[in-house]
Amino acid sequence: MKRLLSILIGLSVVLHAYTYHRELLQVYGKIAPRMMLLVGEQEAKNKTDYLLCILYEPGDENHAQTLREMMVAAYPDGFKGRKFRIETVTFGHCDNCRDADLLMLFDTQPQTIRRTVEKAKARGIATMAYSSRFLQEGVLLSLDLGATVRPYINLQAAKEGKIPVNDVLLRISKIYQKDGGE
Amino acid sequence: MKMKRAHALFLSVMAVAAPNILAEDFGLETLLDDATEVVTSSKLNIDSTPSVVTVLEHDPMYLLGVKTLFEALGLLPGVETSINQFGIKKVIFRGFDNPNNFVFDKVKLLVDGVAIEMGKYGNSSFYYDLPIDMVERIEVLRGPGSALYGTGAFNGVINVVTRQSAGSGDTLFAGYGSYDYMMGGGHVGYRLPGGATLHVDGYYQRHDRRIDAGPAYTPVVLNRPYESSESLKDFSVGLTYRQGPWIFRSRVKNESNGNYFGWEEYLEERDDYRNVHKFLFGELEYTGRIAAETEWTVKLGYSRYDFDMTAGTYHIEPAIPLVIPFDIAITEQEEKGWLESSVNSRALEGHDITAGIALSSLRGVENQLYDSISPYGVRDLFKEGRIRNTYALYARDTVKVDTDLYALVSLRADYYSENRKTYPSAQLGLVYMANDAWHYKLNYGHAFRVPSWMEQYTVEYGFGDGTRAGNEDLKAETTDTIEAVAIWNSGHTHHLQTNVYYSVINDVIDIDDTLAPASEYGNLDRRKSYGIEMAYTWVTSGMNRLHLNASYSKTTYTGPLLDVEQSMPGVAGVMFKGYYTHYLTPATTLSTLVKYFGQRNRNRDFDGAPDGPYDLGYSDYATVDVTLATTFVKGWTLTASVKNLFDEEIFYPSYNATHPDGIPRERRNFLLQGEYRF
Repeated sequence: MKRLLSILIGLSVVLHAYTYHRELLQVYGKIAPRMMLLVGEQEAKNKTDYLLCILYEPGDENHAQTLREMMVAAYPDGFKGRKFRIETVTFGHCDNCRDADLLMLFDTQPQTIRRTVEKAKARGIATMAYSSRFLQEGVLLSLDLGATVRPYINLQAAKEGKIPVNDVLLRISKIYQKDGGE
Repeated sequence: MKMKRAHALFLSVMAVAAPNILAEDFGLETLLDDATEVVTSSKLNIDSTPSVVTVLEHDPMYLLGVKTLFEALGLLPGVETSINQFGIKKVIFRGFDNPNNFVFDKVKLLVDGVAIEMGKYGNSSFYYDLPIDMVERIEVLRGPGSALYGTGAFNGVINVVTRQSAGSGDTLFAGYGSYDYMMGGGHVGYRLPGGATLHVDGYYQRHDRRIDAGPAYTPVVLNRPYESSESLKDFSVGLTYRQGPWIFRSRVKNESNGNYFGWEEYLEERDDYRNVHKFLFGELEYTGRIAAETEWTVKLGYSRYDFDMTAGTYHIEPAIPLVIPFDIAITEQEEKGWLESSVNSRALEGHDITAGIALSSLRGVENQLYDSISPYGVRDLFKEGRIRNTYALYARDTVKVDTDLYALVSLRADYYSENRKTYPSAQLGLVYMANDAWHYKLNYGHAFRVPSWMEQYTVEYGFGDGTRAGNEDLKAETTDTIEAVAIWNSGHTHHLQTNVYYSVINDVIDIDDTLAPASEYGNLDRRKSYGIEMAYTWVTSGMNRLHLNASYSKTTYTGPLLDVEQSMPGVAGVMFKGYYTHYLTPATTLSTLVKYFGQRNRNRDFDGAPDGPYDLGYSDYATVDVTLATTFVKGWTLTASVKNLFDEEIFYPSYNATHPDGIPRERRNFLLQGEYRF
């Protein structure tokens, strides 16, 4: 019995299983690729190929695949001449996303988020979190689910990562502040 | 200070903004409008909308080891779940029960938007065994909901969204537990040619639950143990087909169960499946865009309910003494058709308007009562050929008064051709978002419930018939509720909601034996309820979740026999519920669920002196459930639960106080569940 329990716990140590709303995944599936175009380097204006990486914990693979399928279904031919490549990668292999334009972060432990964000900032890659609570860990973007849905932006993260943000996006977004409030 | 800092940051970011990108139209605002619609309809932003709704999601419930819809509803503040002696499940919101007229719901149950109801009893008890494995989320409105859902949405609305209907991935699930409980099922989705999708689900569950009752539960010697007969066989199959603007949804459910503690709270000799409920519905929906921001929806539906029951009970003459066993059998079939057409428009700046018309026709196909003791033989239980046609008009507008203030105005009128009466309903709501942390809501609702056919048309054939005569002159009972809500959110970590409410019911429909022999149902004096509900949720950075809720309600009741005002019998005025889900490892959770129900009073009409000390009641009780859940290998989740861990004695109220201790319920039991998502 003890052995069985050890095996179960041993197996589960490397996996995560958080909870996701399918409807919210659908919303991110449509919005995240579009927001990817509105943040990033100046050269972005001439860019035609974009890479969006969905980072997830192994237990959430099905949800990550679902989101990827939603993005592909929403943008089968890209958007306005821009092509999107969508990859799903575990947090443990996030170095495979060094050329990404946006990292879409699923739920995980806060230290994993902080580690990923640091790497992304060092490479000037924008980050977006499914849970807006991770803005407090330095993530750049999320969604605010209030009376209306708005992009939720962490300007401090934009500044630290030297990531330019489109002014239209800024105008319609809610600005995150570490000590609460807007 | 905060504004200055934000402004400085804004300027520093703008300094590196790309001017060429500015000129391009990325259509983000349209996308966000669509997102708002999705988020609002799936109740993901309930703190910011005027409605007072609570949502229970599948995954957190699953981690708690919750087995059925009935168990899930018991987690909510102000909600008490109970059963009567015949196994009919009751979901009591805010203390409004009918202690005599016990089989008539004051809440409306919808499954994927379709009402599960019947004209005979106005009850949907047979659907509460729906396994949680089938459920994506449960949206619960506590308080009047007739302005949107018509009759029956009296003191609450429960909308179950199935996982199949939500397109929530392909899953197989199974369960095994105490009382030989076994369950299995799944839901899968298919993409069909032409862009159509088909989602199908199904399950089968059974158990052979028997609970020790003791010899006090029968006046004769049984040739079997003195146990309740709660065996269950239940299956359901459903589908949702989508093709462009068309949706077709259908479900069939068939539930058979034993007669629990018996028709009159006396165990019967037979303990097989004697209660069979079948419910089928199909609904076709079309949604088309008739202008840029205006949609037209039309729904056409059909449902059918079949009921077949046999029971054995006893005629008791204590003076002689004499006990005569006899049998009762009831069958009933009814069907309903409906057509609803509505227009939703956001074309007017700051308004989200829905207006529509709903027509329905409920028809009693056949009903029969038989007993083996009276001279009346096979006969109609209630008057044959009932047809209840309803014509409703409704309008609803969510108005953006200011960026932080939204209002809701919802009005509806239902005309019943059966008695040529029109019943108005209303809901008025305000939500004020003072800041990110504090939101306030104020709500008023007026709702109604038309009498069930049993209450209105039951035929009493004479002495010894055993039924109560219906009252064709019954008016609908109505309720008015005012509710104030304060919500506090802190940094996406803490969430505290406090609701304070005051409700009255006018023209209460209840059994009134003092009206005999003309009828035995009447419109009784008003009942009042007021109370407070608090719910606190804390989600830690490690995603551990603590939820605590507490409620206090004071509901008045004046029984027709003594005409003395008392607290609502059989209902707990104080309830505490809480759970904590802790991630032992990232994929393994240990959850503890605690529920406490305060003392429930007995009914003075049947037990106790009207003016004397009255401290008799059904004891309070607390249960603790513990569940270990783990996700391992790709897509597999297993849970192991021990329910009522400390083997607490639990008793539900006994009808007419027939048994002093109440109706015994499950002691410690276990449940294993598995789910594979692929």
